[in-house]
Amino acid sequence: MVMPFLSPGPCPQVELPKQEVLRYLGHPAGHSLELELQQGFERALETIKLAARPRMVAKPFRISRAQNGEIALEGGLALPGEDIRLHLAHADTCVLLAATLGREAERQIDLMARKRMWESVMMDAAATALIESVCNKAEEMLREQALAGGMDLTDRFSCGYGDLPLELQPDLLRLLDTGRGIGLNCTETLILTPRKSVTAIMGVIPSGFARSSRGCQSCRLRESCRFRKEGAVCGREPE
Amino acid sequence: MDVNLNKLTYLDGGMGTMLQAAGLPTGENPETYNITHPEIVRGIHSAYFAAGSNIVYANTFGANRHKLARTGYSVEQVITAGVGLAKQAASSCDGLVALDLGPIGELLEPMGTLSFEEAYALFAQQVEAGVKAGADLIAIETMTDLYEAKAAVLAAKEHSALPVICTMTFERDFRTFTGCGVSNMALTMEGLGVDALGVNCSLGPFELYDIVKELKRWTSLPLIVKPNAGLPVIQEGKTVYNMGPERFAQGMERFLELGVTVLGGCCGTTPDYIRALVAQTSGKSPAKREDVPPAAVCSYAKTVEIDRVRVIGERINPTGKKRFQQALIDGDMDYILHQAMEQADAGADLLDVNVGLPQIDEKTRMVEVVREIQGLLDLPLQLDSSDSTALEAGLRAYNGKAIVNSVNGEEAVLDRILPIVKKYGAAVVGLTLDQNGIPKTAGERLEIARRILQRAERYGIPARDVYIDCLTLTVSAEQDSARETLEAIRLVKKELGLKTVLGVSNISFGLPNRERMNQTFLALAMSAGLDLPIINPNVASMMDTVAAFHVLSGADKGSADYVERFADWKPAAPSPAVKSVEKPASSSSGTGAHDIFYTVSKGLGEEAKSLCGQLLEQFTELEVINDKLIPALDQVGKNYETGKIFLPQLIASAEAAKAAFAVVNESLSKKQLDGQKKEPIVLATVKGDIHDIGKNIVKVVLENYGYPIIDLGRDVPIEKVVEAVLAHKVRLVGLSALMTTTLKNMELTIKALRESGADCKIWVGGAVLTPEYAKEIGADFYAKDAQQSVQIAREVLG
Repeated sequence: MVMPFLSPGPCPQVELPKQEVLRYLGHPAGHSLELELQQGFERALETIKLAARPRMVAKPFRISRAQNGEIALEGGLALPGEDIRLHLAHADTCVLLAATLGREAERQIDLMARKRMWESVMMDAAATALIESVCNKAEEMLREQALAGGMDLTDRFSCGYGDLPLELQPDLLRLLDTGRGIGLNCTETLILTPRKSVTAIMGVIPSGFARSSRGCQSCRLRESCRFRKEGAVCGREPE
Repeated sequence: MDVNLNKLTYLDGGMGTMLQAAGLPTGENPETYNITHPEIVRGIHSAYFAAGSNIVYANTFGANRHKLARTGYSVEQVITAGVGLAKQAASSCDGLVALDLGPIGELLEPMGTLSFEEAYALFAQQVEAGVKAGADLIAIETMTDLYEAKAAVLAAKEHSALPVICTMTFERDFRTFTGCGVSNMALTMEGLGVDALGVNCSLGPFELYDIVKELKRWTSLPLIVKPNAGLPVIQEGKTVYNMGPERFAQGMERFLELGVTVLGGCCGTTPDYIRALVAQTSGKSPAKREDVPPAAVCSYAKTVEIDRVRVIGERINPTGKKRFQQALIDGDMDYILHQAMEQADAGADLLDVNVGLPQIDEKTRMVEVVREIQGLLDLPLQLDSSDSTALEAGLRAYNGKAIVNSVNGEEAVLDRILPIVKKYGAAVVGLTLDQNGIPKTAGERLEIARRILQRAERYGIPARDVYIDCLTLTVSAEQDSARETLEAIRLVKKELGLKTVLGVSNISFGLPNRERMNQTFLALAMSAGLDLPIINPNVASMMDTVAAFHVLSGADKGSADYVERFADWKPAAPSPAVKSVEKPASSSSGTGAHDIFYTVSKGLGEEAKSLCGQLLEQFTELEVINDKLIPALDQVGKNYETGKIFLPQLIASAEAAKAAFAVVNESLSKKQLDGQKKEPIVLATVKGDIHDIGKNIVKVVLENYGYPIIDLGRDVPIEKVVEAVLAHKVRLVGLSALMTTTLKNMELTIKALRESGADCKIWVGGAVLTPEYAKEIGADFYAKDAQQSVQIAREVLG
């Protein structure tokens, strides 16, 4: 039985990918930055790297399927919707993951918003890129565990994607005990706090099956997405 | 049995661990077992008592209204049952029962949406139920947010007479998840009057040792240690801990040498662990402690130990400052926060906060300013007021250990303010004056200082928290007074051993070159023993003097800080007898190296400012605005829309233009002319939403087209939007929301605005919005970005 997990704790060092940050900011590829903006950009990356305290936790849960195909986690939490059913179609077990950059990165972004708004926007994008890197790292570590047991992992799927309701957020946090483990909570309006945080679900699947079930079709931002308009994708490309 | 935490006392071990072993499903609220499986819960308590626990925590960790909402049980039901079960187990063995208060499970403002008052109310409800159910003490545990812990302690102390103990959860870097350090916790909690404090959860006994060693230095209270059974690992899909009872007990025994008296276990520990702990340690004596905490104050994350000269920034004060007074009247937090940030950047160690003006409600404003500053900066604050209600409200809202400025030798003042200082655990400034005024001689001032100290000690405030201000008088009016002040500082240090504080700048009133006089007096005062000068840290020469003093006093080891401060220093060039005024050739439209158009479009704020000054020598203010700045901004906007520049460039341009506009406006107000006064716009991120970056971008861009912005911030209650729109007769309102879950509140805000009869147009924006949806919820316009917001403002307001 392959049960990938991550004890609650700090994330190993990850890169902060500059090109990604520029892409989030909508910087036209190939254009160079004015010196002042370039310096601000470097400062923004540096500040976020110093202020972030990335932490993560992941736990495996068995999946049960009802007659009507509805999926539930062991303990009884139902994961409603077509999209998650599709995503976990080949899985008997799934891994819940939560990760956060912590509060200080956010405070630095807010502080800079009152000094140089443009630099604050850069820091915000840097933080977004960093939490994505942290999740990639977590996914990689979990996948290694799965592969070692002869299995594989699907991509990450989060509530709010497709028809998987955001209302699951508090339940996922409770199952992972994230308040105690990594300092991650959510508001009554289902916003993760600290804001630069992610929760996700991955299926443990036999190797050889497709890792991804999703593309732009299951994204609720597809209508307003800047990347799509430019004929690109946001970075989480379906394979 | 009485609670005596100075003697070796055993707490219990994990509750969740035991309940899960007994069948509690992961993710289920453990407190429901008080009602559905009472025999299991009682059995666990009994097993802990049998293992040697003197105190058990009732199964009430998460029994707050928010967490229980999904269970269908009330707080009173769960707590009455929980404390009752523990008491049944305790009755046969003379044990004690603690009401357990864990975190609420939501982040407090400003990072989350839960207010301090709501948090307080949630805890108060638990405390009342716990007292009624017969708890012997209150244990606040697993806290990571100092502010939340403070709300819990205040609720416990104001709704019960029971002993209160508090433990927080630290990571390996000696900080909690929210950035609270060990010293911050100790100073704040000891100040609030808890009976014992310490650490629980997160790590095992070996990892916690150094953290507890550090904690011990900052408090004289009994210490509590309740670690996990080592570190968690997953076996067969279940979380287990990697340390057995014997090893755990060995790790725990080491805390005796630090003088820790209260021992127990957290996650992963069971009655076997407590039994091993008791076997390992009973009969042994914890080391005797002689810890006297240092003189220090703190915010939630930063501790300032007064072991060398520390600078208190004086700029948050309306006295004699028109602009600041206006900001206080208008509630212009941007301006006030800017003053705070500027001083922090200049190197202030603490900030004085004075918001007293006859026209405003000082109590309300004090709370607002304290919350805003501590939400952004981590410098400790000195609350400066003569109004005891404003001081109390400010201290209550403050997240850390503050200084109160001030009391004096007058009986009535001492008896009014000192109880508040004691209750909230602040330090206090004592002015050496009384009802008879300021005594002339140093000896008389010393006597007043002595009186203040005695009274403070009678109220239970330790001498280390009493700072004496020997008062600066104007040397041009009373020349001998400077010597008396300096002598008084020396006497207070020598006779009473107290820390001293002094406002410096008064010395030079009425003299030319005040800066030089202030600087010299500061040097003399520091040499006489001044610890806390209250100065303007933005004046470099004053901070230079402090830096030099640190070298001379030995505080700056190897002159490292001094050398760093002056690393780029160059001797000033001798100034020529006659200034050669170089006027630039016409630089109106691109003939100079850089014109205004270039500097705005490239986001070069400083250059834009100086160019704007030059332009004003040739053109009128309106010409500069309409012919130079606005066309530049329009061009930048177009470049953004066509993808030639990207978002940070657009914002940088807007900020550069803003700097230029400030120059124009200053010139207008000098001539007592009004600019193109445009109508104000209200902006808000709706209730429940804490994403405000989009709204802030819109704000910066709109300000540049001359629209005054009334920025209500984020997570704005619906009533507050309506109130602001009606009060300022605003005709255009911008609302932002980033989540599908908060769009509902956007819709409700729009509805409330319509129902209020406000004659305003509403535009909306945010990632999940679409033009169609905007129409559906009743908005007049949808803006996809900041640039479109400008078009909407022009259309509605002109």
